Amino acid sequence: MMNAKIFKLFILLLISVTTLLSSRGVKVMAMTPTNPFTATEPDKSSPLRESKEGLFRGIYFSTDVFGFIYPLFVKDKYYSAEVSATLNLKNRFFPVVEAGIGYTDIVSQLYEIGYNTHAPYYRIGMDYNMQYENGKPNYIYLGGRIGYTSFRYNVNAPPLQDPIWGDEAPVQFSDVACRAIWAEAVGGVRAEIVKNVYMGWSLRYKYPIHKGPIVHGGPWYIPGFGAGNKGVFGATYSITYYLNFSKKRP
Amino acid sequence: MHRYRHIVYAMSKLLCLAVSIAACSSEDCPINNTVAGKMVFYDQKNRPVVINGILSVSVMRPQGDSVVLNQKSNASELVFPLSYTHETDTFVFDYNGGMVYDTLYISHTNSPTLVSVACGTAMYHSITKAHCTRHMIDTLIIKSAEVNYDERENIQVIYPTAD
Repeated sequence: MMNAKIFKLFILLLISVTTLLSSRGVKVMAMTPTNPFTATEPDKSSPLRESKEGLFRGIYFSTDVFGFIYPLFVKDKYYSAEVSATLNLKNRFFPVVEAGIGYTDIVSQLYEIGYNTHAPYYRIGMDYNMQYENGKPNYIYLGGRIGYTSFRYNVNAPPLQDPIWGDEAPVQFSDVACRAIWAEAVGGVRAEIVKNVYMGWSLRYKYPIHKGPIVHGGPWYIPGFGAGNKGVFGATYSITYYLNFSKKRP
Repeated sequence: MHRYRHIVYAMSKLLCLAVSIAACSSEDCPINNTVAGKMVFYDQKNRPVVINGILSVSVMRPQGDSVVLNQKSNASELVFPLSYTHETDTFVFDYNGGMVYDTLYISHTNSPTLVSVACGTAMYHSITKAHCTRHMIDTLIIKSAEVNYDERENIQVIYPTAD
């Protein structure tokens, strides 16, 4: 319940900030002086100038290294490898496609529960450059994603001991099929470290939309989403190459 | 070069922050640690009632009966276990030390469940049928079939209305 509230607040904040900045951009365009008798040098930071450079500016190709670093810091380890392609539209909107593989094969120390799965996952979404007016290659962005995965998982746990009847019931599920869809609110930064090579990180709040069919309690770890039944935090730390199609820098 | 060092340093600090936040995600385990069903006693006008006198409840097993409720006065509900491997359980209600008995038969499915790797496993049930003798009890109504950690009211035990 608390996670749901945080998620809703985050979404509201995201929409509010995005809307505020968008409307600010529109106002700047509307208030730009347009004297037909004065030949003036175009303002380099003006959104009007941005619009003259064309819609499509380039593509960012990224790989996430956080999926390898994160397991070093947590008890129940799960890994992921991920790549993404992001279009640069007017250095302002960034439609993105992400694909990766999630993997875990653990035995919990407390209950000796074995859980393993590995499967590909996919996300599509859009980022918004909060500093598009600067015209600089480093920027802060907010965005959203929809994620999807179809996977099978195995559980192997010690048998359950019936406290009244004294019987034992096995707890072993093999090849349980499941599909999951989730939403992500994303915020992050991307900075150029050498020409056309960027580093960046993003923080994500992921919230499940659909998971099923649910049998035996449902999956614990979902590739691309993480572990847990409610909202979870995630992060990416990516290295990016920018393929510039524009004459000017992003 | 100095500019790059500055950026890499800043990004490293932000990575530490990201790891800290991401690693904070925790799983909420159920507050209750026992899976059990719940019967609540009502009269025919659907008013909650207490059983006048003493109620004992035992469950019948091949190796001998096991007491679930021992000589409780003014009982208004019963929290009961279900078998992990059998499909029907038999409960005997003993009113006032053997003066009157009722026998309840509860049929159910058993579903071994992974709560989570951090919280363990449990046996959940789904009640499919409930019937009983009618010495004191009028009828049984399945209110909620699912038996898990939620402590829901699963069965309404209806006694004849006194007035």
